[in-house]
Amino acid sequence: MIRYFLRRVLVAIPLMLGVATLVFVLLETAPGTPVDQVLGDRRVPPEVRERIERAYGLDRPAPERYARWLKAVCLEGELGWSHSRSRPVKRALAEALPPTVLLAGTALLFFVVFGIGIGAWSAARRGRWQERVVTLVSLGAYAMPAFWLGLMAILLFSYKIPIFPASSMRGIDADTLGTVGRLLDLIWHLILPAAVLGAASAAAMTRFVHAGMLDALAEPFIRAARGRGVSENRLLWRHALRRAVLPVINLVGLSLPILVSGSLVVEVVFAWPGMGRLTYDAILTQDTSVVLATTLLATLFVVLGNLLADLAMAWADPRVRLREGGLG
Amino acid sequence: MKRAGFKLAVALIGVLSFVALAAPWLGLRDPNEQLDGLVLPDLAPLTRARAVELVDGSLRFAEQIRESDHSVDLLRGPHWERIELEGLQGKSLDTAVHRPLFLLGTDGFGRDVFARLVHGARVSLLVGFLAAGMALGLGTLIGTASGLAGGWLDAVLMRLTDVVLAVPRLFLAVLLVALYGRSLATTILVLGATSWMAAARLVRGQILSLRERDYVQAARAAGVSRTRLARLHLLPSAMMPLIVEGVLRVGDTILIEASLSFLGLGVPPPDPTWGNMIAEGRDRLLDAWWIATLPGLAIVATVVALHTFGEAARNRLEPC
Repeated sequence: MIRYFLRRVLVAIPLMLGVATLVFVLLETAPGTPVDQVLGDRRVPPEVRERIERAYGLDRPAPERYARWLKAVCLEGELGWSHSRSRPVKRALAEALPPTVLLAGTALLFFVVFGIGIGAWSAARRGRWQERVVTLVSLGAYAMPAFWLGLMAILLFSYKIPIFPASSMRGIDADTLGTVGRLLDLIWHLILPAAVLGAASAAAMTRFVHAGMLDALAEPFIRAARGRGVSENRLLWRHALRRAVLPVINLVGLSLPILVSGSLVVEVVFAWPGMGRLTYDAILTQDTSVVLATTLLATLFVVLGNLLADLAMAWADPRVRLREGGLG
Repeated sequence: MKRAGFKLAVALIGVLSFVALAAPWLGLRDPNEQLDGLVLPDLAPLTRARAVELVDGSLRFAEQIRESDHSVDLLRGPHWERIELEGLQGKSLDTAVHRPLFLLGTDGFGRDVFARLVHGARVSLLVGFLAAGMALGLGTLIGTASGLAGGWLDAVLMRLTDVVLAVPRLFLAVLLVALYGRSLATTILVLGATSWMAAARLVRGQILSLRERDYVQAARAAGVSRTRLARLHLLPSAMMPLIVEGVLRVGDTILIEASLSFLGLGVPPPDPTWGNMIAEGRDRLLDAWWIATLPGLAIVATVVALHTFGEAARNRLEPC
């Protein structure tokens, strides 16, 4: 297991370095230079421009700048200054990270629970109308833009039937509430955006578990169990589900990019003060250093998440770690 | 049930493509014209507006029309406006009055939502198909080079694929547009440049497995060059799964384009795309629900149709 863990980490590190390199190349090839950004529309003599370039080390050759940039980003965590939030990018990120982790984590929990539950249930109703409804709805949910679903959810559940708040992370009276009250207030604000963010992944999970259950139910070991007189319920929820659920860990890993990309638009719709919202504000104010930093962080999220999913898979299924270990 | 769904999907894709191609000749209103800022904003779907036709042939919209002896009074916004009968087409109210229908209503600027939806299909499908086509082309090129060359080139290209795949697509697209500027062309290029990875892996895999087949070995032994081998013997066999991948990619691309437009990084206004129509409808969600709702439904229907079609084609290719 430890050997497997080390091998996976050794793959993830160069991957992140590659992403950082890619971002640097994109920056280098983009039209306009950082000096233009500093100066804006002001016209200055070329000497001033040169002085600025020297002061920031922009006159050095590209490889040297690359090495310095990489060192600053990876070792010192130095990501520059956000002019839209008037503070270091690092601090803006640190403030925006917890709300996003909370939102994405809840969405993850939501889609795993509902995806497995509904997928298995619809497999149990195979051939009946319930199965068709689930199939159709999950097909539709998978094709919905998350931000549109968010708007529709606000329209339905915040205005037509006002049961959930339409925006923000806390009510205006949150400060007057006790600890428990504040927690309930947070959960109340969390439900709608988390459900919207998790919807597409829940749909994918439902389809996946549904197909897996149908495969499992066709296996001989199910017939054997049925022959032994195991009840139909136990057959479904214990024997078949156990077989169908293992590959789910993989799907959770694959869903992470969708979740992270989705948080970008869902946070904008629900005015959730996280990384997506931060990125959006940065886009509007052309705060490129922030867009850069959130992109790197979002990628780190996904890579770490996939690492965790791989490890969980190896822990749950010894065939994985032995096969890969044997090859290495 | 499955066949019916497939037929429905094909029909929908056909109708959409036709409507998108023929949009300028369908006799729709100008999608970008703000017809009347006072009277027409936020008309509900299936509303017939009131208007009188003036002698110059133009329409004057009104909320109410009142007739008096030698003139008509039009209620426009807070004020009544008087027009002499002489100024009307045919010089009488009966010949001049019109009740133009707004099938899907109007948006906050008094623009016709149906016309915008149809023209939006043009942009969304254009972006979807061109970007997916570009992704297929790029992917085929990279996958073929990787699979045929092997060695260090293969290693470099596949690591590159891993790296681009690791960045969440919407973030990568946002970063690219933020760096390179915003236009219809950059939208297509950015979406194509961020979605070639699956096609590249697919082509590489196909080539690696086909390379060992007897007919390919025979061609190699006969001294066929590597590019000719790829063009004549390997790529045609990899074609069908590649096309299926392309169809599925069009749906994903339409979704990402909508997200980009929603964030204000897609095709610039006033040209309608389904994404920026939803973004504009967001501000009027409570007063005029249809502006944001309808383009979303169009996206869902299109993407579902593309996925249904793509998956049916894939199942036919690999009967499991």
